[in-house]
Amino acid sequence: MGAPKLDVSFFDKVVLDSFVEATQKTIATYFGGQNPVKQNHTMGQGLKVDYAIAGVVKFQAPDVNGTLLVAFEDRFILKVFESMLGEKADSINKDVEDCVGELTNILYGFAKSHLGNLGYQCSMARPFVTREPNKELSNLKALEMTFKITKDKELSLILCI
Amino acid sequence: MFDPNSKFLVVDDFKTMRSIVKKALQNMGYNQIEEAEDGAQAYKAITNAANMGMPFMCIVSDWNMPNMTGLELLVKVRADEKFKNLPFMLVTAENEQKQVIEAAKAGVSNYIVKPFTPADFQSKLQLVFNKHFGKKAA
Repeated sequence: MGAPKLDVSFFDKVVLDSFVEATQKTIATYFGGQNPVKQNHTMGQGLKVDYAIAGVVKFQAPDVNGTLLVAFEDRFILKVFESMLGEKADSINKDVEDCVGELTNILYGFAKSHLGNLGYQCSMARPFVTREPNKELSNLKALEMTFKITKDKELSLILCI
Repeated sequence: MFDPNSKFLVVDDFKTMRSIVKKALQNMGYNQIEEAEDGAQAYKAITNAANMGMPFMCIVSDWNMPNMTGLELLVKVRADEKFKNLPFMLVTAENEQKQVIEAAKAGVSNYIVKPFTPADFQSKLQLVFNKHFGKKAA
């Protein structure tokens, strides 16, 4: 029997759960133990996303060629940065960008391992960071998951194929 | 545990993770900490330090890096008679069974999976120390 294939045509529960768990564990570890609560998830095409900064990494598995975006609003990433490194940043700078890259790497690595241990093989790539607000993911099928950490702090995870 | 004057090398292509590991070590009382951005740079630093008579006592390296990965660095280090017993901890975002086996075969002292807390790091470092120097020395 061959390895199971990911049914990302509509983002099956295995994929969703892996990324939810990865996000909760990563943010709880680096944000003072606060457990982010998944608010909702939206699936569709032509999704418009608005963020201050995002980490981007290739999400590749047999028969899947996708992208993961870990999108942060600016106040939230500055708080996470402070909590992770014990240093304050007034605005997004090179160090904050590096922090977003590392968070994306951790989050994807965690989800990849979770999927890998279930028999779903994905490959690991190096993430990069982008700052393009109001990005339209026009031709892509996308799954957006929103997490609420505190009253006004949100984090979005967007998987596109 | 390692002597407070021990020299550590922290290897990661992301400055953020180097800072996190460095802070964890500093909080444990270690101040002789050097950094490298990939395996190739790290190997140079390891050989230079040994040649100067001030060797590193422990390497803490990321796995997934450009130029030379942490696993490639580990293999290179273990192949050198001078460093075959050098304590070496891998830091990784991935935790798949096949990778754990690969790291063990290459002679890793222990590994830690990201994300981790400073307490997790300290426990793993203690295990690295115990593996090389035994519990009695701790």
